[in-house]
Amino acid sequence: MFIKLSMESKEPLYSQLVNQIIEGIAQKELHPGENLPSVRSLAQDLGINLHTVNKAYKQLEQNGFILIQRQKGAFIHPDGIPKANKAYQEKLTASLRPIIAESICRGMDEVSFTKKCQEIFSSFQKKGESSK
Amino acid sequence: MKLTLIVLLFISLLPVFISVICIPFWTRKTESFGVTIPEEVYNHPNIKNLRKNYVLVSGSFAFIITLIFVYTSYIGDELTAGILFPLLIVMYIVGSMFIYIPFHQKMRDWKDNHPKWHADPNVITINTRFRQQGITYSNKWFILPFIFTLITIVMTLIAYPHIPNKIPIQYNLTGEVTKWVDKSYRSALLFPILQFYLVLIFLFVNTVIRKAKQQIDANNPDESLQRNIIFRRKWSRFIIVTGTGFIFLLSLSQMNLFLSISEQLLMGLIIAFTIFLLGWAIILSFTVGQGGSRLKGKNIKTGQTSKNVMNRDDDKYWKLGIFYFNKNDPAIFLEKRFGVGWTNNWAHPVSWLIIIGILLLAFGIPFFLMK
Repeated sequence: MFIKLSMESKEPLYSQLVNQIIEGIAQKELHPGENLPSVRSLAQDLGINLHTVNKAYKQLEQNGFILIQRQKGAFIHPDGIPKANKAYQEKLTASLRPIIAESICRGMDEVSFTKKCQEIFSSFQKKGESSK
Repeated sequence: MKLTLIVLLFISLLPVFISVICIPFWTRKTESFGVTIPEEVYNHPNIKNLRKNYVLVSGSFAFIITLIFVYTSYIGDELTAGILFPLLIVMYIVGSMFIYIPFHQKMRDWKDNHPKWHADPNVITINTRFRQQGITYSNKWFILPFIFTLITIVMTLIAYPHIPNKIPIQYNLTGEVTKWVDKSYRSALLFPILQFYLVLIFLFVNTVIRKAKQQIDANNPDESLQRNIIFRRKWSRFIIVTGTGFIFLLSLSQMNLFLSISEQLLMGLIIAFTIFLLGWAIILSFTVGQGGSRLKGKNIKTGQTSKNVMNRDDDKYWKLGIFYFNKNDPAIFLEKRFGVGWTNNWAHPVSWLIIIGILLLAFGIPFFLMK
C-alpha cells in the first residue's frame, strides 16, 4: 500500500499517517496480520522524525488497528479491528455533530449529506476490489 | 609496446569521460543539475540547452585531457605515462565538479524565477511492502569470496617456506614491481587480509543498496516503485559479481607467490575483467538510469498516475546539489541527485563513523602488516 504524506497540509504528519493506514485497512489494501515497516525504516523512508512515526504507531495500537511486538515488529491486527461499540458510537456522534452542523448552516440537506456519505463508502469498496 | 600502452590507457579513460559527460541524461527526470523540478519541465528548451552545453564543456575538457595525456606520454617514457594517468583522471573528475557548479547555479536561478516550477504541493510517497520484496540479492553471496580468501590464507601459510625472501607489494602500469618488502608472516599475509577488507567493503555496498531510502515519484508511484526495485537489483548483482571476481583474481595473484601461474595470463585476466566491468557499469547506467528512470518497456507495468503534485522539494538540504545535509532526516543513505548510485546524509553521525572506519582500516592494515 502507498502512503502519501503532504508536507504543506495543516494536518500534522503523524495524524496523516494514522489516517492513511486506517484507510488502507478499510480499503483492504492492508490485510489482517500483514507486517508494517519498522518505526525506524518507515521514518528513514519518509525522511521524517522517528518520534512522529512512533506516535502514529502508538495511536494505531491504542485504537486496536495494529499490534506491536518486540520480535515481529508492527503488523495489522490479525483478528480484525475491534467492532464499533458504544464508546465508539459516542465518539462518532461527537465528531459528526459539528460537521453536520456546518453542513446545515451551509444549506446542505439530509439527502445530499447522506449521498456524500454513500459516495465515500462506495469509493472505499471500489478501491478494495481493484486492489485484489 | 609504448603505443599499445597509450591506446590501452586511453580506452580505460573513456568510461571515466562517459560517466561524467552523460550524467545529466542519467538522472531522474524530476531532477536537473541537482535541483528538484516537475517532470514536465525536464524537456523545457532552456533545460535541454543546458544539458547540451554541459556535454559540450565537459566533452571539450575530456578532449584537452586526452591531448595532454597522448602528447606527454608520447614524448615521455612509460613511467611518465604511469604517473600521469591517475593524475589526469583525478584532474578530470575534480575539474568536472567545477564545470558542474555554474550549471547548478544557473538551474537554481531559473527555478527561483519560475514560481510555477514549485507551485504544486509537496508529497512524500512510500510503499509499505517495499522492503519485503527482495530489493537486493542476499549478502550470503559474499560467502564465496570469503571462502576464496580463507583458502588463500591457508595456502599461504602452508607454502610459506617456498615464498621468495622478497615480496612484491607494488606494481606500475606495465606490470613491473616497484616496491618490495622482506618476507615475514605479516607481509606474506598483507594481501589476503586486504582481501578480507575488500569482501567487507563489497558487503557494505550491497547493504547500502538495500538500506538506502525509498524514493518514489509521487506522480507515478506504481511505475516508480518497480523501476526502483529493478534499479537496486541490477546494481546489487553488479556489486556481487564485481566483488567475487576481483577477490578471485586477487587470490590468484597471491598464489602466484608460490605457484607458478603465467604472469601474462594473470595480467590478461585482470585487464579483461576490468574492461568487462566498466562496460557493464556504463550499459547499466544507460539502460537503467538513476533510480531506474531510464528503464523501458515490458518490465514496467503502468499504474495509476496523479497530476499536480511534486516530490518533496529538499533542495535546501543539498549543498551544491551534491552533498545532502539534513539533520531532521533519519536516513543515512539515499540516491545521488547528480549521478548514478547512492550517497550519504552528512548530517547523520553514523555517516562519519562509517567513513572514518573505512579509512582507518584502509590505512591501518598495510601500516601494521608492513612494519
